[in-house]
This record gives sequence, structure tokens and C-alpha cells, in this order.
Amino acid sequence: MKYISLVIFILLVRVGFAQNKSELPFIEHLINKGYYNEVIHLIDRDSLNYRPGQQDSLNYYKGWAHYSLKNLEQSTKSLLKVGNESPFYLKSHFFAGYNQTFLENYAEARKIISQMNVRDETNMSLVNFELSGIDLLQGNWSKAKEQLQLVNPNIATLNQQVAALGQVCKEQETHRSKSPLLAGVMSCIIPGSGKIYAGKTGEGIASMIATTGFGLITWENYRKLGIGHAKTIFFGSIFVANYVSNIYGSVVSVRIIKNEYQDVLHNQILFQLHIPLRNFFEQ
Amino acid sequence: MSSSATGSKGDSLYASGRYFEASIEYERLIFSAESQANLYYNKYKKALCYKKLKKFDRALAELQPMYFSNSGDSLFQRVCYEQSLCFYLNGEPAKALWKIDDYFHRSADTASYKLFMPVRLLCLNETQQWNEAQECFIRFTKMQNFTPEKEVEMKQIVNNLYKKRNLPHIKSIKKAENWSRFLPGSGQIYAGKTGEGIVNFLINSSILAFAAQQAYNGFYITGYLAGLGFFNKTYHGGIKRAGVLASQKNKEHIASFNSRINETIRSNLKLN
Repeated sequence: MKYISLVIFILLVRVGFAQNKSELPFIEHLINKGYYNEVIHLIDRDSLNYRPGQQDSLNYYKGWAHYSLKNLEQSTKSLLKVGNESPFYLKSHFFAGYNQTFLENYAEARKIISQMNVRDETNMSLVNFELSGIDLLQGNWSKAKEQLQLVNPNIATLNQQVAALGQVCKEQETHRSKSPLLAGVMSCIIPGSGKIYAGKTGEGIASMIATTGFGLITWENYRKLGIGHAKTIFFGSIFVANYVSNIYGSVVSVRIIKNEYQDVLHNQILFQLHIPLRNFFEQ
Repeated sequence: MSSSATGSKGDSLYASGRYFEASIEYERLIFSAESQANLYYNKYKKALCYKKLKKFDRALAELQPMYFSNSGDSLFQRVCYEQSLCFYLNGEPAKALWKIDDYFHRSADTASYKLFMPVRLLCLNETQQWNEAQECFIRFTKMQNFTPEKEVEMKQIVNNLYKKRNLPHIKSIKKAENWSRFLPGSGQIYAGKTGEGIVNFLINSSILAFAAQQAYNGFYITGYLAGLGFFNKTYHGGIKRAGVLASQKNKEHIASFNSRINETIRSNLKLN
């Protein structure tokens, strides 16, 4: 009886291993064809049946599928489970750090990238490059510059991106923010000019025409009917509302332009941080 | 090519309505397929899963790359049928018609045309080819092997359906816009929205009257800027709106006509 049970057990284990052995190439095939939801479904369904050695690959594939579907939190969780014995270790941890950078969890991103088990010069340079990017995103310009200088200049795949981040630092140093107060005062004197100063030329000209139009209508009614007439009061109210809202709009425009500039800068840095990761670990 | 990879795990999942899981199992068979016959068969089955999941573009992506050198292959017919159906369901009736015509051109098996007829009929209606649609419907009824009396009755039903007064009244978008250009609000009335047309006419005429009254009383700036300025907006907006309403009305008419055709097919004819 014991002998039969042993034979059945061995057979079951062999069948299980045979099945799992063929599953990884299939999962890789699904990843290559872009069937990410299918990959996640398969791994979630069968992950308990895998040997510990295969778990790293599964975690990597699951993390990569989530990354491709833009589920960055789940992607990070899976990618961080990849052990340093795995050939996917570096790629997984770099991308987990990038995911957290993208999600603006900078402390977590810094922790993931700093704690990576990296020994060679090339990957160390990539670590420094990613850390300098995180500093830039946090607005630590001087620290970012220092970190950028630690990147080995002989690594060709990083040269262009290092130069691009250096350019971002330079731009930031020379960039002058516009004053919301000045925009408001300008719109007070000439309606619409505050928006033109803020950089929204089209909006400024449109505001100028509308306010001038309402001003002229009010003036005409005032001249012919007097200040107390209902028509003068009606058009006068529209003119005043337009004039005041235009001043407020100019102040807001400066803030919007500032946010837009920061968004462009933010996306530019993220883009530069992403390129070497794809170049280093191209599938 | 005979395709007989039946009894797979994918088939049982498909039969139990688990189409997503079935699609994975078919992809597994595609991955390990050793012959083109198996590859195509499993791609076809996977496309059926996507069709059930209402992902018609993905179903088409599975079906499109297949090439059959032998048009007598039973799978060729099924793939062409599913492609045309998915094109129709994906809102591309012209492409569905192209696929059906391509099949008719390549296949000598005229008995199989019957399968394609309902889809062809709906697509012809969708593209407003009424004469061809009527012809297609009559041809389809002839394929049903009805008794002579029933065939005459069916022909009468079809002819009645396609009488000019029963056809969807397609509104010309250009005409609706031009009507509104000529007389604000009339384009909306032409498109079937009488109430909206009257309101649009009243708004436009009031603004225009205000502008004229102001200019007449010597308020030239008020008349020009407040009157004509606003009139410019409501007038051009009304023209655009008339075109949108005509297009919406056409879609409603065609959908209701096609549902009548569907009802006739379901109640009188056998589909397979």
C-alpha cells in the first residue's frame, strides 16, 4: 500500500512539474503578444503549483504585465518579489523604482533603487542616474547635479539622457516665474494684457475685445440714457463683471502657466528616466 | 483542410460560458500548433470567444491574418462568416459587405450563401442600398425551400417592407443645414424636431429684432455688438445643430427599419 502511494505521489509530482515546465514559455509567449490580462489570470490561478525557482520568473512576468497595463502599484509589488538570484532581478527592481517615481512616491522609489544589490560600474551609473532624476523631481537641483556627476561618462547608452537632465537643471536655473500680481495690475490697466503677459495671447486678445465691446455698449447707453436707466445698469453690470473676472482670470492664468511648465518639466524628466531602462533591459 | 481539434479544454470552457478562460486555452493550442490547420482552427475558436465577450476588434484581429488557398475548405466559410458578422457588429457594414462579396466571388458552394444572407441584408440596409437589400431578401426567402404559397406570401411581405412609403425617410444633412441657413429653425423642423425649431426661430428673430430696434433708435454700438454679435453665435450654432439632428434621426430610422427586418426574419425564416 505504501509502495503504491509513493508511486502515485511521484507520478503526480512529475505531472505537476511537466505541466509547470511548459507553462513559463507559454506565459512568455502571452507577454510577447501583449495578452497581459491573460498572463495575470494564469499566474493568479496557478502560482501555488510552481517550484520556488520558477516563482521569480512568475513574479517578474506578473509585474511586467501589470506595468504594461499601467497598474503600477500591483506591478511594484510583484517586481519587488523577484529575488537577486533571478536573471530578471535588475530589470524588476529598476522598474519597480521607476513605477514609484511615476506615482510620485519618491521616498519609496529612492529606497528601492538605493537598496538594490548592484556591483558593476554600468548598473551603478544607472542607479545614480535614476537617483538624480528623483532629486530633480523633488526640486533638489544641487543634489541632482552632484548625483549626475557620479554617472560614468564612458557609458554611451546613458550619455544622451545625462545631457538632457543637465539641460533641465540649466533651464530651471535660468527660468523666471511670472508674477500673478503684475498680471492682475496689467489687466486692470488694459483688459486682457495680463493674460498676454502670462503667455495666453489668444485668450488675452479675446478678453480685450469682449471687455472693450461691453465697455462701448455701456458708454453709449450712459451717454444717451444716463446712469440711472435700466439698460445702462444692465450693460454696465455685464461690463463690470467681465472686467473684474478678466483681472481674476489673468492672475489664475499665471498660476496655470506655472503648473503647465512644471508638468512639462516633470514629464520630460520621467521620460528621460525611462529611456535608459528600456535601452538597458530591452526584451 | 479538415479541422477537428474538438474535445479540448477550451471547448469545455467555451461550452460552460467561460469565454475568457477558453480564449487562453485556445491561445495555448495556437502556441503549440504544429500544423496550419490546427493553428487556423484554434484562431477561429479564439475569435468566437472574443465575439461572445463583445470584443469584436480583437476577434477580427484573430481572423484577419488567415489565408486559405482552397476555397472549398469548410473553415474558410466559417471564418468569412465570422469576419463579416464581426465587421457588422463593430459598426463597419461596408467592410462586412466587402468580405461577403469576396466569399461569394471565391466560393463555388452556392448552398453556403444562405448563411451570409441575413448579415448581408442588414449591411445593405445599414448602407441604404434598398434595391439590393430587397433583392437579397427575396433571394434569401427562395433559399428556404418554402411551399409555393408560402414563397408568394413571403415575397409580398418583402415587397411591402421595401415599398417607398415604408422605407426609412433619410434626411439630407446638407439640406437640413441649408434650411437653417435660409430660415433659422427650419432645418430642425426638417429633421423632425418641430419644437426645437420653433424655439430656435424665436431666439434668433428676437435677437435680430433687438439689434434692428437698437440701430433704429440710434444705439448703433449696442445694436451691432450686443445684437448682431449674439445673433452670429445663435445663427451658426443653429445651422450646426440642424445637421446633427438630421444625422441622429437617420440613425434612428435605420435602426428601427433593421429591427423590423430582424423580426420578419426571426418569425418567418430558418437561419441555418
